Amino acid sequence: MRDQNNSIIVMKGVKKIYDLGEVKVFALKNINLEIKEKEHISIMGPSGSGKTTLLNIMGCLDKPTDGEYFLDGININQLDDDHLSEIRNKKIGFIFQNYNLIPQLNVIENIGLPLIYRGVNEKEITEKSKYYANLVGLGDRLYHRPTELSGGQQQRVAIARALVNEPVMILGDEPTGNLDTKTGKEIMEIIKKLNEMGRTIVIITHDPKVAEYGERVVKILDGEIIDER
Amino acid sequence: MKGKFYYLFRIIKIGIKNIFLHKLRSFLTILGIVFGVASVIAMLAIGEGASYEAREKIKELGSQNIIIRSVKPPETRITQEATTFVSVYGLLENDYKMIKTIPSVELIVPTWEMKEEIRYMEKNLKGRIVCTYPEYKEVMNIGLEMGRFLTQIDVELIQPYAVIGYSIRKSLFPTEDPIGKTITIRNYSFKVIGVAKEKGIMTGTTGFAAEDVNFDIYIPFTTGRSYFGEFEIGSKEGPVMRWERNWVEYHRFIVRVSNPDKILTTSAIIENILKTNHRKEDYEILVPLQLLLQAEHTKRIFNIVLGSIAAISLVVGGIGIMNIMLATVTERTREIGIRRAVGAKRKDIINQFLLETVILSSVGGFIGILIGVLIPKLVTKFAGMTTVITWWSIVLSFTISVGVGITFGIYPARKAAYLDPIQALRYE
Repeated sequence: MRDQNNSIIVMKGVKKIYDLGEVKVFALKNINLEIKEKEHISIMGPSGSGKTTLLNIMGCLDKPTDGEYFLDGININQLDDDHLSEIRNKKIGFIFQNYNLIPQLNVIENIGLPLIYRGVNEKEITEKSKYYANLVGLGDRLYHRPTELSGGQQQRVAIARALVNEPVMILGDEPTGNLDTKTGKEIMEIIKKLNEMGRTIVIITHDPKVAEYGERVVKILDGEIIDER
Repeated sequence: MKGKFYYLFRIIKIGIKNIFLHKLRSFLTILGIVFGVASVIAMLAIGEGASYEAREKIKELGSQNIIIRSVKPPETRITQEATTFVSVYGLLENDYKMIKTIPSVELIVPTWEMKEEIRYMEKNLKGRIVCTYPEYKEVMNIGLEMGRFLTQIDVELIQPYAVIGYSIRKSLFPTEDPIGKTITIRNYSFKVIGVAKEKGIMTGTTGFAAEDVNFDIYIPFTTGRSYFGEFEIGSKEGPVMRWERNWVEYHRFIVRVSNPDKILTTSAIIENILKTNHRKEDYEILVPLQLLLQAEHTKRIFNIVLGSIAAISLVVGGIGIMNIMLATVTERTREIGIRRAVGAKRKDIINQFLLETVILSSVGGFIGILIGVLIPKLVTKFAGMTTVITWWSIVLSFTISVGVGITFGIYPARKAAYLDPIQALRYE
């Protein structure tokens, strides 16, 4: 299934157009992008540049209006809602700016959430969730609710949740946006370590310091890639 | 298969967790269902009880019988000044003879009755003296606890024998054996030859006057006639104390019809006979079968009314649940977005919300059953009404409450499932 050159993401002429009736908004104009396995890439751009739209498409939450998008060799354009859900469940680990944990669930249940939708049994879910909680340094907080945790700890839970399904790519949307500088740095160190352990990482940010962690920085403005290095 | 089980287990766990997270809200949500289910069970139990009572009463009267009663017509009311007055009314010898000739009449048993004091030693109580024939036992389904009933020979020999009702035995002979003992009625002595079995007391709920046959005493018709004649003497309270004398030849005819199909035609013939023989309406024809049909009809109407009330209350309950579930969906938009992002399919979201609604409505149904079973018990205890809780009313109302949960849960669940995950994730 995978490309010979181990590309996780291949985008060819991807466009996203929002039809608002009278006007058409070109959120993404013409994106050509390739991300290889084990890469750590930062996508930078100011707000309104289209980077969130790009993230939604990369994360299979949305489909491009035009162009082709392959994730791990699978053509996303042709998939229906159920299959997109399955792809998100198996191939992608999300890290959000506002952590997006479920307040009713404790740390271990939050981490195990993606596995429920795979029909994994209770014991295995607990084991895996514990393993990844330990990995992000939350071994002593397993039964706490998100509200009982600091911002940094909550983001660690989110990272563990993004890892638990063993995805091909971790997609971070301003993962340090709600954190102070010190904690933000800690989180980026964890993400860096994950990359060193062989994970493919895509981080979307407007913060140059965060972007610095990436091996490659893609700058985006008005729905187009303007710089890549 | 195993995976499915864990999945179901998980969503049930989450569902219960969410319900307990908002205890008061969940409780208020299910209140409609609770009342709906409780009212269905309770009202059905009361209705069923009333119809059971009616059926029992009718069985007691004999569904193959026609009962003709003498009734004191209203125009014989006495004026204030009179101190004594004789009113003549009721069924006559001629009626008896004519009814007997109807081919479909298998048996006709006449009675003459009076309320009188019954004495034994220093004890006494008021009972109803029923002067009748041996066939009375058969047509009225009288069982015997001890001794024997009246026989044809007793009637022919004008024997002073008496068969006493269950309650009379209990009051006059609480410990001793009544058989062979002598009781006194209006200075006449009677030998007790039998005791009737206890019979259920009918309350007024069935449309009959309450009467307790356990206070009856049966004596041979001929004995009664020769001792007491045809006059019924009673005192009446009023501004002037006065004696009232009623001349009645027969108080009741109990007619057994040979074939149940002929009951209605026979009663029509009897009515014609009585109409020609009597100028006043001093009789009443009771057809237990007709009453049975009436009771069934009433029950059917009752059930329809009940069904409508129950349906309305359950729909209202369902709307209440839907309302809360819609609010819950809005409140949990972010959660839905998160679940969708990590791979929940629309189906998963529908299952989760639908299951939550069904849990709510089932719990409501369960509490409703408990209350619904309790209410008839209280009604029986405090109002003395017969109630019959039928198992199918419990099954039915519980099934309906689960059905209501599914019906009214689908819309909110679908609404949740079709939220745009991108917008749901950013919902504040």
